[in-house]
Amino acid sequence: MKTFPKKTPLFLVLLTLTLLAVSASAQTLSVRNKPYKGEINGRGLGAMVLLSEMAQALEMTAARTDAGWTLDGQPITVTENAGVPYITLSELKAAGLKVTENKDFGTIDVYKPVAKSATPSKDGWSAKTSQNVMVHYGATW
Amino acid sequence: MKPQLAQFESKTTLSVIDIDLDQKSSANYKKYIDKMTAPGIPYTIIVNPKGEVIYSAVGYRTSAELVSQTKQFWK
Repeated sequence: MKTFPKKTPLFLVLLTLTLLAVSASAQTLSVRNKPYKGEINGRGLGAMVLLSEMAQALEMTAARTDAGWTLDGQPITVTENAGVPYITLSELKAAGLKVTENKDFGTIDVYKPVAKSATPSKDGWSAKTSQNVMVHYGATW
Repeated sequence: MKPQLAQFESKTTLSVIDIDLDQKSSANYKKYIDKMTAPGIPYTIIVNPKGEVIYSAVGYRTSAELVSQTKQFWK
């Protein structure tokens, strides 16, 4: 265990401890090479994020089916809190997303899997699912 | 995602896509902007796998209203 010399001023000890605590808690999550702006609970691959925010950052579609939640049609395991689905980074990894953690730099990067090319229909519409999709248009003021 | 949409999403089997018309670079914006034919927002549509709009509504809807008005299209 590291000890401080007896004559070290108290404020230096406190400053050192504060810096150590800050560096230990700081962790950056990036999604598709952009800083993730959503809610994050926890650390490392066990960190939990709001499914809707993560899906939006990934530009993927989260949906609840009779068999459970899916992300772009891929079944995923979520944790619901008051009916709102959350997902851990390890579950995203299990669902096929590339999730890399760099413990030295305190960073975690999430990448979308390479999309398979879809066949466009005559009018250019490219249907990825066999389900109906709701689209809501709005803006942030 | 807006609260009423998040609440609706937790109830429905539909895939819900929330498009911010100020985020013109997003993939979903580019994919769905041609379906935005309403004179105002918020605007909500349901698109079937063929790309046909089978439901549309202009104006704010609560989660409960969305459920009651769209349930017939959940599949």
